[in-house]
Parts: sequence; structure tokens; C-alpha cells
Amino acid sequence: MKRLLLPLALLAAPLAAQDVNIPHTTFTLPNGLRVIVAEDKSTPIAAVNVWYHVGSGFEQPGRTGFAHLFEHIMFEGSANVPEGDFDKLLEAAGGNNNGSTTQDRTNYYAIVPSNAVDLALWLEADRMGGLLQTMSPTKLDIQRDVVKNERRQSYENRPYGMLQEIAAEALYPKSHPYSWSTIGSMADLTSATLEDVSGFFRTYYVPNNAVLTVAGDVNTAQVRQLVERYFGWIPRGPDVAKPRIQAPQIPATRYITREDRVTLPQVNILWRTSPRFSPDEAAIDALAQILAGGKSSRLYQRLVYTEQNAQMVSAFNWAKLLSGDLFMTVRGKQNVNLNVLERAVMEEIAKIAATPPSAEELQRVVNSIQTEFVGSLETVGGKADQLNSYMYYGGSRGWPRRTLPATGHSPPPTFSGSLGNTLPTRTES
Amino acid sequence: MPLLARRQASRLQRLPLYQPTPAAQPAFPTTAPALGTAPTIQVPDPVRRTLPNGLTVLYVTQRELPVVSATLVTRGGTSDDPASRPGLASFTANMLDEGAGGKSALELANALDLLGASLSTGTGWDAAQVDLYVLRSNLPRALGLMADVVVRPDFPAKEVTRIRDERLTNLARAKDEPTAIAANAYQSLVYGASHPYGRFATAEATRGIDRGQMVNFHRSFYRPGFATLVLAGDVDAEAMHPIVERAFGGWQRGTGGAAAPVATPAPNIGTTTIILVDKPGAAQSEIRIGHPGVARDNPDYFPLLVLNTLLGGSFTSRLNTNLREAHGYSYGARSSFDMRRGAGPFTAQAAVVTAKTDSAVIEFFNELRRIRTEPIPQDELERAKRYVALGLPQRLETTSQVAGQLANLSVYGLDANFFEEYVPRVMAVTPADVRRVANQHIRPDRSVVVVVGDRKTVEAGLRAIGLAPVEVRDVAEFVR
Repeated sequence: MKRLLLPLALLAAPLAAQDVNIPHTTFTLPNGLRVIVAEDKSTPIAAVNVWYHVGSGFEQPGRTGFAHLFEHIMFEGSANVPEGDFDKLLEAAGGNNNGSTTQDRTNYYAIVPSNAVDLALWLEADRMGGLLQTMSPTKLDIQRDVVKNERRQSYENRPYGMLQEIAAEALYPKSHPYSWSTIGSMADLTSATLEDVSGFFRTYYVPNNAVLTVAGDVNTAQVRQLVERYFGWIPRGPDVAKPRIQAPQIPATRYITREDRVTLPQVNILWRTSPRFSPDEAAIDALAQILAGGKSSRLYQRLVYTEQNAQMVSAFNWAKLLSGDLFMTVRGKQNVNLNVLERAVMEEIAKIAATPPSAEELQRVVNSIQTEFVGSLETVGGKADQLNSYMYYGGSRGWPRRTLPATGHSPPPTFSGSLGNTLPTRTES
Repeated sequence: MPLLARRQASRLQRLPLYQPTPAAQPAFPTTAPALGTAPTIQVPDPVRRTLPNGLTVLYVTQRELPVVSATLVTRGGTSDDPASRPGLASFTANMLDEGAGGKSALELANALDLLGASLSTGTGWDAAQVDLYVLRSNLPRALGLMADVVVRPDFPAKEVTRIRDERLTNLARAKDEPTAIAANAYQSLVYGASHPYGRFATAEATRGIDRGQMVNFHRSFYRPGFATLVLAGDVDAEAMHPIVERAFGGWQRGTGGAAAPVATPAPNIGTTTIILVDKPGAAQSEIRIGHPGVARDNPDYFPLLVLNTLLGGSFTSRLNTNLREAHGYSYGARSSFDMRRGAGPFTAQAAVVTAKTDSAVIEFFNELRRIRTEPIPQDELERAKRYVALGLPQRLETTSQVAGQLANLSVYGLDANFFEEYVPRVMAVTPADVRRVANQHIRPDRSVVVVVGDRKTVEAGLRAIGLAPVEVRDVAEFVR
């Protein structure tokens, strides 16, 4: 069905990190906007994907949730785009768009037929250059209500939905910007003002704090010309400092219990781990997978399959700018004692700290992670987002620097070390 | 990963619209750039083969990455559940990879992971489905495991017991989920228990399902003649076909038993009723509004697609614009025609803030009525058509999208020609078509309205709007 293109050379399975490549070009405008262009003509569509290097980790106490509320406002029109037209113009071109906010960054993307790349770039530039000219209290109020409903839908009205917020508060001291949830508190959402909007925009939504990636069926020279024309005039802003705050080490294991109206009890054991692209990130990813990633994992086989006192297990290491969070979740069957489940998790961790996983066990998780990673590159949107992620977290090294877990048969070295100084925090539901 | 997706008057400051740069760039345009000619859309052109046992195999070559998606669909969807055994189809599909071809559940899981392969099994209304995703180099071995799972599941007795217990536990926790309560309540109130689309799995039915029933169900409905296998990705038919033959060639044709699928006529809903299911303390109300809709073979498929897009199938649709962007009642509102072998439901839905439940219901009905009575503005119609038509390549971008879409077409007796005619047929839809299908297939005055929410806050308001009688029902009626 598609024109043949091989941007990814695969020599043999399993993949080695250097085999996964996305050919791309980067350049920087005089105003500091960094641009990545990756041509991929396999489908006649393209992704226009901007990362602003600001997220909830840049917020101040009393204004939690603001980075995400601001993301919503970015879709409500700008200097030359009347309210509502951002989405209408893209839909009329056959495009989809969205945005998302994490602690570290906010991204905006449009996936469009290749003839609408011009439009998508223009829309992106108009809001980067002229968001405030059409700001209004009504826009803020409506999106404030929408975001409050997002909080109700995705957190408050969802079983176990408050875990993220509880975990953030438990893992970080109040002074740390990862100590609140990205959605923010209802009270802080209520407090947000128009002055906050303009201040946030002028501080963070400057070209020198953004990276624009265009991936797909495009011509690099043409994209460069359009980007220079549409974004070149936007004035550079003051430099933006990334938060550098270090959280103190967690001194001792703490147990937090939260009652909720749910049928199944759940124990969540949380650790602080290393930042993105730390030397031990891949090992921790592998550890999470070995313990609770799918049916071949140790905790699935012990708790779900053999002892049958758990309904599900999961583990996920989320490495960010300042640190990582490792979540291990075991959802018990009805009336199962959570102490039993917690003890089982700790026993399995002690085992793996004492005896490295077998070569085959390690190979299983490496292969699974690799397939998932290659799969994330199937879409132009996924490609653009990965390039932006590597630019942000990998710094000047950028792509390719995937720390795929070592494919050799030697065990990852730092399992016990990476867990040693962190703490389990338990929440019961 | 905790990642939030988003989805007028006081001027703060004039920012410069344009600052000349030394390079003498042309000015920043103050109007949106014109769209050039839309690119030629390439659609899958599968190579079609049939095995001697009757299995249809489709190959689509997409060489962008060294991966392959394989999707197999067969009969054995939820519509094939016996009336007395809702959940049998799903339980059977659930069991496929819990021991097959003599390999135990854990041996299968370990073998798949060692290949870096992901395999999942499940059911829709009209088919059972098994999906495989794997790097090309490991496809032959992974395909062998997929064939074991589809053709030779062992249904080990101890695994049946274990999975039954997991399914009972899932049913027990479904009452925690407002969306699960709303889904069961809505389908059972729209269709009733005498219609396949109105039944849902219960603990009692689940306890009554045993190994023998699943073996029989598998024997009846998992047959090569009922099935299609699609491979999309870094494959070509010539090289792959012998490997597929080796994996699936031993699948016996099967005899007797399975009657041809029939679509049960949908019940007629006389008048609109509001059913309030109490969920004390809920932060939001889950709203579902609608009635039986249309079958997949409806000749108005394309007008309905366009109608739904502008009513509630896109971000700028009327429902989302009204409930989210104009009123802020919801994080998002939408609608759908779930087209099945029979007439699946038309549903308009949203989760809305508890305090605005009555206002939200009013706005839903305003939109459902307005689309029937007022002419559709030309620009709105054009936008919906272009969104649907020009968005096609995005829905055929990945190997799993291509495999899934072709497999789905095969369930309804359609093939890749569907994509060939897709764009022209969407673009041919007229305002009169949309009005006609809206009047025919959206019936606000003969609808079921399900509200799952905090009764003490929302009941009085729902009664006061005078839209329809309000009946209060218990969660335990719909999740049990």
C-alpha cells in the first residue's frame, strides 16, 4: 500500500540501540526556537509537534494546575484566529490536534494531510506570537470549568483516581514542584487569574523555550522557509531556568491509608528513582518489567496466577527531569489482607537484589521493551514526540540516545542500589 | 503515565504582530494560508489468499518499520452468546491464551515475551478477535503460538476456575465504575433482556459457564471458514504464505452446529423516559441518551457518518461545542452510531458536573432536536465531510490500524474496495441527505435517558425540566 522507505535499518533481532534511527535535521532560529524536521514519506500526512519546556513542575504553590489550564486556553484563539477557528480550520483540512501536560513539559500537536502543514505551522505560530491579544475572562472561565470537569472525570469520579495526587504528596516535600498533581487543586484552579495567564505566557511561551518538530511527508527546505517566515518575527524572551530543586532523601518507610468506596483493596508501593537518562534508568525499567510487566512477570505469576489473591499487578517507572517515580500496584481480590500482598512484593524485590535475573528472563523484558519502543515510531506523531522527548531530556545529545536496556546477557547492575535509599509509601483503598 | 490531554473582552496588551527581520522575510500573514491540493490517498491493496481449509488470509505490505501486526477475526462474538449464558463468548476468548497446543498458560506467556511479541484476545459484538504484534524477525515463531491460541486452546480445568474467579471479581468491582454501570443500564434499557444487545454478563451467568460449554462454543464458531487473518507490515505474501499455511493449515473446517448469524429486530421505544441510577456522592453524572440505531449494512452509511461527525463525532461537533466549549458542563460530549450486524444503538453521551445534570440534559435535547429541524449550514457540513474524508490516511497509518480495519470489514462481508470509494462517497453527501437521515435515525422523543449520578442532588432538577418521566433504579439491577 505504501511507498517503500526504510528509515530504520535493522541488522538482526534483538535490536541494538544504534539500529533505531530517525533521520532528521535540526536548526535554530535567531530568536532561539529550535526546530527538528524528520522526513518520512510513507504516509501522506505529517505531525507538527511543539514542546514548551514548562509543566506543573514549574508552578508555584497556590497556582497548582495552572500549566495544564493554560494548555486548554491555547486552543481558544489568538491574534488572527477567532475563538473556535483553531479546531475548525484543522478539521476542515482533515487534521486532528491535541495537547498534553506533564510535570516537565507541555506539548501541542496536529496530525494533518501533508498539504495542511503550512496551515498547522501558521496556527502554531499565531498562538506563540499572539495568544494574549484576544484573551478574555470568558475564555479563562469556560476552560476553568472544563478542566474542573476533567479533574472530576479522570480523578474524583474514577476508582483509585486520586492515587496520583496522593503519591505526589507522599513522594515529595511540600516545597518540591513534583509534590502536587498536574491537574491541580480545585481551589487553585478557582484562584487562577488573567494576570496569571499573561505572566505565564510571557515567561514560558517564548520561542527560546520551545522546540518545534515536524515529522512526516514534508520537504525539509520548504518547512524551514515556512518556519522562518511564521516564527522568525516572534521576539525572544528572557531565558527560562529549569527547576533544579533536589528533594531530600526519604528517611524511612511511611504508610498512608486512604479509604475509598471501592470493592477491591489496592496496595501501591512507591519509590523515588533517578531522572530521565540517568545511567540506571534502563535497569529500573527492566526491573519494573521483570517484577510486574505482563504474564511472564514474577509478581503476576506469584500473586495473580499461583496464589490468586491479587486481581492485577503493575509496575511503571516514570523518569522525569528532576527524579523518577516507580509505582508498583497490586490490586487484591475482595477481602485480601494488603499486608500479605506488600510482603510478597518485598520478598520478590529482596530475591532479585540477591540473585540477578537469568539471561532468559532479562532477554524477555528487553525484547518486550524493544518491540514497544519500535512500535511507538509507527506514527508520525509518535516519531515527532520521541524526537522532542530526546531533545528535551537528552539535551544536546538528542536523538538517538535511547537507553534500551543492555541487550547482552549480563544482569543490569544497580537494582539494589537504585532502590536502597528510597521508600515505600503505601496507600490502601 | 499521568499525562493530561485537553481535550472574551478585556485586552491585556497588544503584542507586535510583525517585527521585520533583517532577512526581509515576507510579513506574517494575518489570514490562514490556503490549503494546497490534498495529497493522493493511498489505501491498502491487500493480496488475498485462501487456505484449503477455507481460511481467508490478507497480506498488506508496509515496510516503514520491521514490525508486523496480525489480526484474526472469526465468529464467536458476543452476539453469539446463548440467551441463558451472557458472557460465554467473552469468557471463551479470555481462555484462548490460558493454555493452548499443549503449552501451559505460563509457557505461552513466557514464549511470547521472549519473542518480544504481544498477543491479545477479545470479543466484539460480531466477532472474536486475536491480535499479534511482533518484530518481523520473530513473526514465524510468534505466528505458530497465535495459531495454537486460535485453533488449539486447551481450556485447562484449573485455568477455567481461575479465570472464572477473575471475571467474578471484575464483575464485583464494575459497580465502582460509573461508566460500567451506565453502559449496562443503557444497553439493557434500550434493548431489553430478550434482545442479544440488551444482555450483559452477570455473576450468576458466569458461575454457570463451564469448560464443556466453552469447548463447544469454540468448536461451533472458531472455524477457518468463518475467519479472516490479516497480516500487515514488513511482510510479503509470497514469502509469508507458506509460513501461514504451516501455522493455520491444520485448522479443521468443522461441521454442523453453527447457524448463520441473524440480526434480531430491535425493539421500538414508544416515549422518552429518564432512568436515574443512584451513585451517592458522585462528582459527575454519566449521561447516555439514545435508542436502537442502524446496522452496518445500512445503505445510508456515509450520510450517517457525516451526520454523526457534525453532531458528536469531532471536537467541533455540536454536542462538544455546546456542553464543553460554550457551557463548561463537561470535559467532552460525543455521539455514535454503533453499527453492528443488527441495529446497534445510537448514543449521545457525556460525563457532566453533578450540579448541572438537568441543564446538560436540556442541552443534549436541544441539539438532538435542532439537527432534525434546522438546515445544516454549508460550511459546517463541508468541514465534517472533509474531516472524515481527508482524515482517512491517519486511520490507516500503522500496521495494527490496517490489520484491524481490514479484519473489521471482513466481518461485515466488505473488503478493501470500501476504502477506494470512501472519499468520493463521503464528499457526495448532501445537506438533504443529512437532514433525511437525522430525521429518520435520531429520535429524541422516543429515547432512553440514563443518568448515573448522585440522586439527592440531581433528581429534583431532572423532574423539574419536565422532559420525561423520571424512574429511579438501583445499581444492583445493572451490575450483578
